[in-house]
Amino acid sequence: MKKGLFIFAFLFAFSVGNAQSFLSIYNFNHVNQNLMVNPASPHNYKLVVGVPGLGGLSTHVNNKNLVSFLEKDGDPNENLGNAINQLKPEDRINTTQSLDGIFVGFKSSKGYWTISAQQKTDFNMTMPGEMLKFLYFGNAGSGYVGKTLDLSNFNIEAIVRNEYGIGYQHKIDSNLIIGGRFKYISGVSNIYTQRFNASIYSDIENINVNTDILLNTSGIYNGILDTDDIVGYYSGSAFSKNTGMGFDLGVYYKINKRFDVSGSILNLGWIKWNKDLKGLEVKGDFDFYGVEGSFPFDSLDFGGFLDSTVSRIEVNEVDINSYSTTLPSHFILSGQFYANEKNVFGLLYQGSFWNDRLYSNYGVMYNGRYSKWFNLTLGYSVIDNSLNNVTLGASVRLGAFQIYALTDNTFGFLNPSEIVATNVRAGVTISILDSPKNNKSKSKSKSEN
Amino acid sequence: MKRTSLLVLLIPLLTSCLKDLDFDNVDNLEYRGQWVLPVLQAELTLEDVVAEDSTFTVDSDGGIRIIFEEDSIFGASIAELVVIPDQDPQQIPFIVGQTIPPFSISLGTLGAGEQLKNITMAEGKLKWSLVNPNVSLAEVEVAILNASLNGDTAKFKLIGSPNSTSSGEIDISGLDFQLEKIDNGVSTFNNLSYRTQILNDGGASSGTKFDATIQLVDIVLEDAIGYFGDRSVNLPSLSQNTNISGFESILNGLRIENPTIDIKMIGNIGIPFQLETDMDGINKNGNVLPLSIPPAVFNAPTVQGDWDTSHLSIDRNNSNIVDFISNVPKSIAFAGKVQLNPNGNTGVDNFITGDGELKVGIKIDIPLEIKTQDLLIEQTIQEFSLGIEEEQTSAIEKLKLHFKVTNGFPFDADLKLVFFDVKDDGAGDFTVTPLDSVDVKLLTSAVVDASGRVITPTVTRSEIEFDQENISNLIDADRLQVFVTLNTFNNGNDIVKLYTDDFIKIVLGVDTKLKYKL
Repeated sequence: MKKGLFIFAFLFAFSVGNAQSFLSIYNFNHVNQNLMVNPASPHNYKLVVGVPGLGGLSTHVNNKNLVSFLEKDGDPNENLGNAINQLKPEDRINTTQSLDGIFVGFKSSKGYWTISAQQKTDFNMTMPGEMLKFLYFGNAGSGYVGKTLDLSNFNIEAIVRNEYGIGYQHKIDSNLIIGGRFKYISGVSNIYTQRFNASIYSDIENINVNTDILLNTSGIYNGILDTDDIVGYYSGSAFSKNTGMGFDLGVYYKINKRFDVSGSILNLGWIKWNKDLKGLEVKGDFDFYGVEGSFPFDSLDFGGFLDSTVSRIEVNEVDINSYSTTLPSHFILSGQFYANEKNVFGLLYQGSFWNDRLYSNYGVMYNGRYSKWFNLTLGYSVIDNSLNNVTLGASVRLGAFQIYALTDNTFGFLNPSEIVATNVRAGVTISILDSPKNNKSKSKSKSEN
Repeated sequence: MKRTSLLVLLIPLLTSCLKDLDFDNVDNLEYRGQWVLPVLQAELTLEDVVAEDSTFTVDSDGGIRIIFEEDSIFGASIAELVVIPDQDPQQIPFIVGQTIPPFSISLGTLGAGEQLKNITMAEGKLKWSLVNPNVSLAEVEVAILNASLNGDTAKFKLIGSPNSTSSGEIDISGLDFQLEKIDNGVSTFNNLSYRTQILNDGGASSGTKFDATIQLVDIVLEDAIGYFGDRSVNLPSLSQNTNISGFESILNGLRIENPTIDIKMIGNIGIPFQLETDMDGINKNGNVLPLSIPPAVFNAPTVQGDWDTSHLSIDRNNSNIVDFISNVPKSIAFAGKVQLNPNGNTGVDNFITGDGELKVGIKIDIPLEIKTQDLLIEQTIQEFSLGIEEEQTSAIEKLKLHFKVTNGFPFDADLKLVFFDVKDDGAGDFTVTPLDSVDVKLLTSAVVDASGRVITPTVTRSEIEFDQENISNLIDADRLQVFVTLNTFNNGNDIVKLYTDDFIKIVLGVDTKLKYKL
């Protein structure tokens, strides 16, 4: 039972963590869905239709080594302790998942349109590293005796939403392409940290705990938590009262035959949450000086006294008003070097904003443009300060069908306990390449895929 | 769909990892946190203790004394102090045709020189018998000339059945006797005057003799006047638990400087007496120490209706009370005797009345003005367990208890903990083996002024560190014995006084490193 519990915890830890990276797909324009991260990415498709449910699925995992105690080598306790010790204040748990319901792309006279419907989930939480150290090593073991453990930098945010987008890229001239996408957003559920002030002070004479926390939620109470039909709740939120909009912008410029540069900004927008609102408030403070004994000392109920002390912190569900949250936004910059038509090397940077902090990923990618039916990408990236990310991806055309799969951490599959970040994308599309005539003109524009 | 897809993706991920991961490692996980935490904060002022226990009283200056008071450790009734024994049978011959002149006899007493002038019987009987040799009923009369009932001379008719011996009992409750007889200015006491006559001879011939006997028995007095003699009355023995808070755990080393005992005798009976009390103090260990005290004298009121209260004050000057109290009696056994009229017949009449009452009370007054040298307090926790399973005996790698004691008491204190293993042999016998012991200097005496009153509390920080062996023994222990050794200020050489504002504040914290198998 205990082992089963740990296996479950392992799966959970393994499946929720993520450092979201768009690096592998950003320049892999054999897959038309890269327009979702680079709206100005050049390509030679005339029509692309994603197979619903298979057209594109991306997910990201990150376990930050917390399951390293399961490694066969070494002392599991030391491994776990080391993993917790390595946590940094900027560490976070971040998972995103997107599922293409509809993806259609088609060419127009000087541009390319995309219509998309995606179901997306973003979960961000600061890894409470210091709190984990405090709990795991104890206040003495973590050096917090006589010091205050400030938890106020903790933040948690979860957004489940449906995005309906229409995008367009326009070829300004043979070297410059701009693109953008407008997204209408229907929010399904949300957890948002309205305020989080918490601290723990401890020494041998006193423990002081102070909390003032308010989590806004939408679609959680009276929603996910309180419904027997979660699928029904989701499907009923296809166009919910939680409305918002967002924009993706991109630009591509071909400098010369050997170099191009591009950039994109994703998820500029917001959602206003109106439906099934409830706040979770945790407020109060207490000082614990030990069990207070008083004459005649006929009862020293440690547990009871502790319970009554801790109960000074009240946890209440409170009514809240409508509130707005911004979308988790990213920007990506890239430059590519064309060794020849089939071998392209690129440098990429991805910045992601959350919790007033910029999270950075860096990568170097190789794209092998071997033929119309097979393309390969290889790369190396630094994701969330983790150095062990080797990208491997491929797309294969079987007639009109195209199958693709990419991951940012190939070695992670071989040694999961070492995984910090893995980005998995896969999908099946039906695609029609642009006509040779058009291809010819494209080749002139030197923006061949 | 989303979840299914996610799981499909995770399957190769997980299956590929199985060769690198060992889920059996879960069984080896331990919690190894090290915590420094407050555990207990306790404050005690003597004011709290005093408020909880009625044996304490507080002086106007806040000084504390222990008062043990018992209003009536024993009382005495009239029946116990003035006793009229059953009288000897008195032969009275009735002869037909002859008149017997009145005659006097002396009331029988206990032979302690009693000279009774007047008594009233609360209870009593006149037992009689009459031999009637005649064939007809015979009636005779016995009159007690100096006794009356409702104002009339006491007369009793005895009826003899024909040719038989008749007997009976007559209730003489309420009979009032005037026992003093004055002839020519000379008084005699205990006098009983009888007159007898034949009321009906049943036609018996002259010279027929009716033999009668009378006897006063079962006499209980309601009141009496006279001299009741110098008799000695033994008092019933009894044992009284002192129930003084805190005393039950003290083994030795206590010295109370100025205890006093007040024996109070209060009564409205007119009999001076001397109370000779035997008091034995029995401490927790069964050690008996007698209290040597002078006799107490009850002077007695001289006028009926008055009350007298006499005291005997016992202090360090007229007794061994300091040693007696310092023996820390858990109980006190009382016995003794009352010597009536210890000065003999002084010419002042003794008296007792129907509402007469005599109580002997005791008040032990112990001002908490003490000196302790290695005062040892012991407390045993017979059933002790930390509740940690045997396989987790190594669950605590390190345990250090931190004490911060703010001491407003004029005592140094050292603590000793002794852990015992208790084995049951299954036949009802137990083998108790000491496993370990830990000593710590717990607190330092507050500073006192010349009068022994605390003027400055002290703060003592101390630690008890348990090493691995100590911890193992602590976990294994079934019984815990706690010894606290107290010395008053200046290593037990100074006398200190305890006041209600004396206090102690103990903050207990723990520094522990765990190695708990999950």
